[in-house]
Formats: sequence, structure tokens, C-alpha cells
Amino acid sequence: MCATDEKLNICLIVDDGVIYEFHKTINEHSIIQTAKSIEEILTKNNAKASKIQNVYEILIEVMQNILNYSYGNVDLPDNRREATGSISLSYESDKDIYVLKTCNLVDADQKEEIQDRLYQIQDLDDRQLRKLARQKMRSREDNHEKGAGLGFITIARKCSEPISVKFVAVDNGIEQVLFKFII
Amino acid sequence: MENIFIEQTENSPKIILDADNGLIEFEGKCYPENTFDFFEPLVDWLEQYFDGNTKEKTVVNMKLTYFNSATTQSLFDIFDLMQDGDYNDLEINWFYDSDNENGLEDFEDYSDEFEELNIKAVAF
Repeated sequence: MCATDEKLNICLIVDDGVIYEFHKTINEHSIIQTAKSIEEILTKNNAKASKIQNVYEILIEVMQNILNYSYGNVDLPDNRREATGSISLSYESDKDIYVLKTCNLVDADQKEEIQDRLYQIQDLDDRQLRKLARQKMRSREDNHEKGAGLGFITIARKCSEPISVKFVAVDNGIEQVLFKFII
Repeated sequence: MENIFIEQTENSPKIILDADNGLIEFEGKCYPENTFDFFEPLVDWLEQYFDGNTKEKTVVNMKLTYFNSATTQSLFDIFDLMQDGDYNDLEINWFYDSDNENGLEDFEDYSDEFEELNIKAVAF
């Protein structure tokens, strides 16, 4: 499901049936529109308010991550960016879970950093994640111009299972990264 | 001090920084593309306000229905500077969605971290 052209693919699948799909480049506008669309669809499908909120929030975090860190993202005027990636959201009714999958390209040197960040949080419960988030905010240890380094912790607190990630080498120094979030 | 009023957009909140009336308010969603750039002038204003320019009473209303992780850090910095600032009477209200079972999580994060500020939870 990963896009290899310069488009973002988004589809919403309910028990293997695609009910919503569109293609866009990731930028500030497409993040706003995608989040609104997903929120409306989940509301119409009578999803629980807490599930809608969690899917909505994770979707924005991952799209902003792709926008900021994807290989080949483009700087535009006024400190804006555009990037390429793909996202799919499905619902498994028997388990009442949403599965959000993303795919984008990253520089190979980001692979270890992403794995380290996920390893650091994979066995933590909500209380421990919360403690770690506060520690990072107090120390500002991961602060940089694009975010606070709290993205994975924020996402992990809203997921019902640990975040899974796979890397596939696609070219010299470039990796395809595939995330799976269970909500 | 000059007051700051910013209109709400689809991904940034309405903001009132009113030194004349001692009112500080954030309302709406907050996930601007460049979060730190967005907050920088606001943090500058707040630093100036809480550096001997507060009214007898200051009311802070946080009515944020969603904010991204980068905003989490900026809000932390704002509460941090308020806690360390000079003020007389400071009332901080954190508005939350009572229909959302996770609605109080963010309030708890900040109220636990900044106990001295005595942040109040207000359902809407």
C-alpha cells in the first residue's frame, strides 16, 4: 500500500472493504483536510468518542512526522514543507480496533534513531510513558525546531498495543519505513 | 504592554493575551505546522506579563480541544514560566470534554506537574 510516486495515498478500510480513499501530497492543508475527513467518517460510523479522538490525534502526529522527517521532503516559502508518504486506516470489528499503517522514505541514518526511540518505550505502561514525557519536557533533551521529540510517546499512550515498525532498504542510504499503530 | 488577539484557524486556536483585563485564553485546536514559531511571540508576551506586569487578578482559560506533541512542550513552557512568575491572584481553568473518557488526561498531566498553580478542571 506504500506510495512510490509523489502522492499520499489514504484509504479507510472497514473489515477489508474500502469505503474511503483519496490521494494527496502531505502538506499543512492536506493534514487538516484528512484529519477532518477521518473524524467525520468515524463519527458517522458511530465510533466511540475516545477512539475517534485517538485516531484523529495519531493521524495528525504521523502525518506531521512524515512532513518533517521524510526523505525528499521539500522546503517551500514561508517555512512550509511538502512530503510524500502513504497512510491507510482500517477497522476490525471483531476486536473493535483501528489499524493505522503508514509508509514513507527516510535517510538510513534515521533508522537506528527511530528503533532506539521505540525500544525505549515499547514495554512501558501509560504511567511510565507519562513519566517519561514529563522528564523529556523538563529536560528539553529532544527539543528541536520541528517538534519536542514527544511524538512517539504521545502516540504510544493512545495505542492499545506497542508500535510496530519495519524497514526496507530501497536505495543506497535510503530506507522505506512502515509503521503500524493499533488503536 | 500591547494586547495580542489572534483569530482561530482550522489548526490553530483563538488567542487572547489581554494585559488590560488580566485575561489569557487559548481556544480551539492547536497543531500548526511550525509550532515553535507560532508560540514564540506568545511566550515572549507571557514572560513580559509575568515579570511584574500582572493585574491584581489574572484568569487563564485553556480551552484546547486538541493539541499536538510539539504544543505539549510549548504549554509546559508556559505553565513553567507562570509558576516561576510574579503574580497576585492567578486563576487557571482547564476546560475538558466531559463526554470523552480521556478528556481529563491532559489536565492531570499539567495539574500534577504544576501543583503550585492549582489548575482547575472545568467540564464543557
